[in-house]
Amino acid sequence: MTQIYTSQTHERDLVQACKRRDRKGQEAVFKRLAGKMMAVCKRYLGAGPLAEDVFMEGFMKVFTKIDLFQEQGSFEGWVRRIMVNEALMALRKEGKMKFQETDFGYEIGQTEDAYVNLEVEELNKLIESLPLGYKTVFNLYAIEGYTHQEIAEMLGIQEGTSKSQLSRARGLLQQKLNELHV
Amino acid sequence: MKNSTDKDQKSMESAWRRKMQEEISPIPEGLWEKMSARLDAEEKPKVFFIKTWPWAAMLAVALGLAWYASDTTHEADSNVISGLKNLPTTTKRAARQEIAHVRSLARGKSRLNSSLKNEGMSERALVKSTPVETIPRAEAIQVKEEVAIKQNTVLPTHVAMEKIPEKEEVIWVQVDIDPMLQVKEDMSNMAEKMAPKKRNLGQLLKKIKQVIKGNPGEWSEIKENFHLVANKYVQTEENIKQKFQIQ
Repeated sequence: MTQIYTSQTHERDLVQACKRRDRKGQEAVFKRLAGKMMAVCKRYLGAGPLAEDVFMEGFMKVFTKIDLFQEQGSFEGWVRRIMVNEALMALRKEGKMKFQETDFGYEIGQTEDAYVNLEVEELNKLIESLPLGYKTVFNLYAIEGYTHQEIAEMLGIQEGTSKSQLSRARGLLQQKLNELHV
Repeated sequence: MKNSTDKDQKSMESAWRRKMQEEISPIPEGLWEKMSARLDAEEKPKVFFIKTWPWAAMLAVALGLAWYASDTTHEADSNVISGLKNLPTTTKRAARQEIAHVRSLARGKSRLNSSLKNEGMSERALVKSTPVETIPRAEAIQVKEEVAIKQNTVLPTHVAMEKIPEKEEVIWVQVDIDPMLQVKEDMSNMAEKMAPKKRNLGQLLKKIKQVIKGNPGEWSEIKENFHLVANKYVQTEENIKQKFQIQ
């Protein structure tokens, strides 16, 4: 008897199906998380074939290493971490991971409600426009919620570098936001 | 002032985080099919390995056994040949000693009708000497072994001595056999035996291949062949031991 998986199927059941190497279960997981994970890959790598490759590699790792998932935290969070790690590895392989120390000299000013209410597309454009080092640290800290210590370990940099990169990313974003709303 | 801006920044970022984490990008067509194909390719070799490893292990063991058996039979045969080359002198000496021993016993026993006995022995010896050519090598070796043991035994008591000549009929048979002829016979027997062994090994390998291809019906035959190979090995080993004891 083959089990049918719908959008209502509980995450735990899908994980169990994946652990049994049930192809239907794997397909359900893929369809449920693919859109979000593709967004993660594009945020780090930009829209292009590299993001798609990393997305595929990430999902392969999810399905082949599913037995390592302890089912204590969120499954989506676990998959997201794998995607982020894969994206960082791809950046490292490409030799693109460089951290600019240039200070743009922008002060972080008062935030306006307009900034908070920015649409996702606009936000993506803003983040995409940042230099790679700033963008990576900003994504990891502000969007994924990693601490500076975790970011430093993930990127193999000093904690201070992570902080300075974030500060500069924020400054540059502020400037770009101001330009948008002038 | 700085604290308030930091708080504003963090609240803005948390609002962005919520939005960004819920963002969904469009997925190109056929991506799941690609993924499924990759998963199939990833899992297939494992399944193949799980299904085939017992067969591969058995094949390896069978090949090892076959090689070992053929190697030991080669060694055994070469040992037998070298042993047979040395055999004539030793057998002659042993036979002469035995003849002298039997004659002295025969003289000492006036109660026995030695002349009749000797006639009977020679008759039996003549009768036995002809079928010796057809008896297998192992039996001939057993006879020789008896000679070796007897050389080391203490002289029998008076009562037991009466029975000894009957046993030593076999020794007379040994004397009548031309050792060189025996060597030739053994060589030809070995040549005959070696060819079927190779054929048997080839058939065994063919059967193992058939089993691997998915014809488990041959398995019982292969098992029987394993037993045959093992028995042959044990038999050959015993033969070698016997040969060395004679020397």
